[in-house]
Formats: sequence, structure tokens, C-alpha cells
Amino acid sequence: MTTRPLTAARRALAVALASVLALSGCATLPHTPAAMPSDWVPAPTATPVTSSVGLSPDGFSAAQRMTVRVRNIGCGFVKTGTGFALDAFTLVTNRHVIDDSQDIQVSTHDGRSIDATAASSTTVADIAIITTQEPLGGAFAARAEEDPEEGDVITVVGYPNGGKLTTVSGVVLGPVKDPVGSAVDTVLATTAIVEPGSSGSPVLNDDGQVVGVVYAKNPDTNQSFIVPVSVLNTLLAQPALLVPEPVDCDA
Amino acid sequence: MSTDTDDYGHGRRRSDRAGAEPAVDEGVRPDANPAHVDDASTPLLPEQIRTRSDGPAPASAPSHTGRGDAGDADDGTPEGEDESDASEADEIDDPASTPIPPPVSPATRSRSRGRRRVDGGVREVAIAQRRRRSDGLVDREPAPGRTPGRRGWIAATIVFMLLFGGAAALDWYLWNTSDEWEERAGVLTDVNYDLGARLSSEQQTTLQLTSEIDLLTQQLATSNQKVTDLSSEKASAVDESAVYQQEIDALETSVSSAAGVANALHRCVDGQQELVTYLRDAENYDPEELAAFSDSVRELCAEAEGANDRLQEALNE
Repeated sequence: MTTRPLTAARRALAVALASVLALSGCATLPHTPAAMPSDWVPAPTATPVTSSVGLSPDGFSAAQRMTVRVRNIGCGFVKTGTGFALDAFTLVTNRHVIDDSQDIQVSTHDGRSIDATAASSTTVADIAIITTQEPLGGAFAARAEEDPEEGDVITVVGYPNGGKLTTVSGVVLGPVKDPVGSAVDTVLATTAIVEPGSSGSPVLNDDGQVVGVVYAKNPDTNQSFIVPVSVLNTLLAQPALLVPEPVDCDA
Repeated sequence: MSTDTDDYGHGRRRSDRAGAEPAVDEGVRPDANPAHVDDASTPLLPEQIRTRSDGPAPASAPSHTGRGDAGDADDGTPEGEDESDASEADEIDDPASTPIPPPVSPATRSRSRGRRRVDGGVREVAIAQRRRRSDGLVDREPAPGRTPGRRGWIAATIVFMLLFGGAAALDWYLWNTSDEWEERAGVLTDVNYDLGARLSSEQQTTLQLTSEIDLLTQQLATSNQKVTDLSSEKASAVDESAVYQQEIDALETSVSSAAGVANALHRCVDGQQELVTYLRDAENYDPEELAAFSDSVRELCAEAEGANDRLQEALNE
């Protein structure tokens, strides 16, 4: 006889549960689709992709474009060396490359010949500075602030034997005494194989910065010797250390 | 059991059955209170009716019972009569369909005392019910057992209708939503095919361009190598030119020197020939002058020979 109130309560409970379920179902009802998007494909950008460091408009690297071939037409002789551009009208090479010169000519990587107008050298190191009237063009060297350390990997770009533009790699062996006595300070020995004609070649680190200048080699050990960039920076910071080089055979 | 909520009163009669036995015995026994029987012909006051109906042992209850307990309390009245009375009582419950029986004479009541007593109880209940209904008390206070059930049905019906309406609305909403999503799926499928076609075209173009880039890269490398070779050859040619120019300059110097040597040798020869001529007619010339001329020719030839030697040395270098 007590089942009827319980039945009514159950009904009420069932109705309440059904209402709750219905309301809870409304909370998860799917929505109608939003407006159809039209930006499926992003608008193409007209900005060109930044070219990699190694590429250039003519396919040569910056190191190749800044490296020049130096021809010293001396008094009864012709010899070649290598140099690299500091700016459009200035390049660096070795002092012994322009010794006893009657005429100095510069050849770029693409075969252009440029006459030098003046040359200056120093007795502090085997370094000479050449200026030109015609712009060198191409790329210019970025000098590092610190000298390379022992074990650093270096790259040498030059014209060994006055031939083709060549790139070789090596490792810095450390500071040594100048084997030819052309410098007052210590120099750096490397394992990069160079040849006559590589004198004045830029020595680059992994970042493409100049860390030295090739000036000699030891044929017995195939070691090369470079003037540290710190010496070059000092010379460039103190122009008084540079002396004009005579360009007369009589001199 | 006053909690009986039967809508048609049967339950109430059953509930009255348990407490009705003393009343039945009381009504049948000769020494029962004659007021109950005698009052059958006399209309009961509402207070009395309410007292009977509300009392624990109403007199009208035994007259309705009898299916189970009536047999025990029967004083000889046949079962069928009692049941027929019960059916009458059921009819009485419906005031609209059951007319009120006319009053019964005392003689009739004396002949069928027991039955009338029973019938009288039924009539009393019917009258009481009609009175209760007529004065409005019963209609305003329905039986306690009926209202919750009815309300429950009404509430359930309302809720069910609400749920049905909600379900219909939900169904319409889901149907509409499904249609819109189906349409969107079709559009997206078309867009996918379009994008796929464009992607395929772009991929094909990319492959072609990549192939062209590879080819151009090779051509560029070849061109750069060619430029390097040509540049080197040019530089070497310039070097050779410079060397040749220096050699030419040296040869020009040598030729110039050779010309001077030749001139000196020629003058030497001329001097020697002139000296020979003078020596043939030596008696005609002063001997001192001949000796001086011979010394000068000898010196000239010596210088010429020296120049020739230097030229030969230069040419041999």
C-alpha cells in the first residue's frame, strides 16, 4: 500500500533526471558551421628568400670575390702573389710581393685587370698596402678582432703558383718565431698547404672573417706561416708605420 | 486503513472491512443498539454521519462487506443478498446514476430486519455521501488518496509534452545542423579537390623548377669554373706578356748594343784598312804620324772588341 507515493516520487525523479539529461544534452549540441573561410592558401609573398652566405650574384663566394691576384712586373722579372680587398680601392698583400716592382697589376676573380697607383709597406711585418684608381668591386674583407687560436680551422683562398683561384683548409698550429725574419713579432703556423704565389692570401675563419695573411711556407714540413690579424689591424690603425714603396728600377 | 486512495471507493470499502466486524455483530444481535436500525428510516444528521464515517467502526461498513468476513458474521442472510447489497452500495456511490430509494414502512422494516438493516446502512452512507457532497465539504476536500496520483499524471503528462516538444525542436535543430554540415562537407570536398589539383600542379612545377635549378647550378658551376680558368689564362697571358715585354726590352737593348758594337767594329775595320793604305806608302808619310794613327786604330778596335764581347755575354744570358 506504500508503493504509490514511492512511484510518484520515482516519476518525479525520473522526470527530473530526464530534464537534466535533456538540458545537459543541449549543452553539447553541435553547432552549425561557421562562415566558410576563404584564406585557405596564404597570399604569396613577393619578398625574395634571403640568399645564403655562400652565394652571390655571379656564383662566386665573398672570399673568392675579394681575393685578387697581384702581378709585380719588376726590373727584369715578373712575379705574382695574392691579395684581398679591404675596400673598393685598397688591398692587402705581402711586402715581398711588391719588392723591386716597376709596375703592379691586380687581376680580379673574373679576369679584370686593374693597375695599382701606389704601394706602401712596413718593416714591422711582411705586409703591404696597395691602392688602385679603379674600383676593385666584388666583396670586401671583414677582419676579425682576435687572432685564431691553436686548433682553429682556417681557410686560405689564393692563387698558388700564379694559377687558378684555389681554396684550401688547414688548422692553426700555434704561434712561432718568424722563420724568414721578416717580422718583429711572432707569427702563426698552420697546416694549410700553400705555394709560391699564395703570398698575401687571406686566411679566413669559420665565420668568413680574415684572421691572418699568408706570407711564407716551409717546404720541408709543408707548414704555412701567417701574419696574425692583430698585426694587420695595428698597421691599419697606425698609417705612419707604412712607408711608400718605390716603383723604379733605378731605385 | 484510512489511507486507501482508490478512486472508486472499493478500496475504502475493503479498508472498512477490518474494523467492521464488531459493527456487523452489533447490528445483527437482538440486543444491538436499535437506534442504528430505527434510524434507517430517519435521516441522519450530518454530524452523525460524519461520526459514523470517521469512527473506527462505522455501522455502514458491515453492510458493504461480506465477501470474506461477512460469512463469519452472517446471521442467516444468504451470501447472494449480501453481495447484491454490496452491489447496490456501489451503485449508490454514484449519485448521478442511482436514485435515492423511497422511505420504507415500519412493517417492511420489521419483516426484513436484518436485510433492511444492512440496506438501511447503505442508504445511510449514500445519504450521508450525498449530503456531504451537497454541502460542498467533500468536493472541496477530495479524498486524500486521489490528488497525488492525478497530479502526478498531470505533471507527468506536462513534462512528457514538454520533453516531446523539446525533442521535436532538438530534432529540427539537429536536422538543420546536419544539412548545413553536409553542405559544408560538400564544399570542403570540392575545395580539397581544387587544392589537391593545385598542389599537384605546384609540386609538378616545383619538380620542374628544381630540375632546372639543378641544371642551372651545374651550368653556373661550369661557368664559374670557366671564368676561373679564363681568368687564370688571361692572367698567365698577361704575365707572359709582361715577361715577353721584358725580353723584348732586353733584346732591344741587345740589338742596340750590337749595333754599337758593329759600328765600332766597322770603324775599327775602316781604320785598319786606312792604316794599311798608309803603310804601303810609308816613305810618303811621317813615321810618327803613322805610329800615332796605328795606336788610335788599335784602341778603337780594342773598344769594339770589348763591346762585342759584352754583347755576346748579354746575348748568352
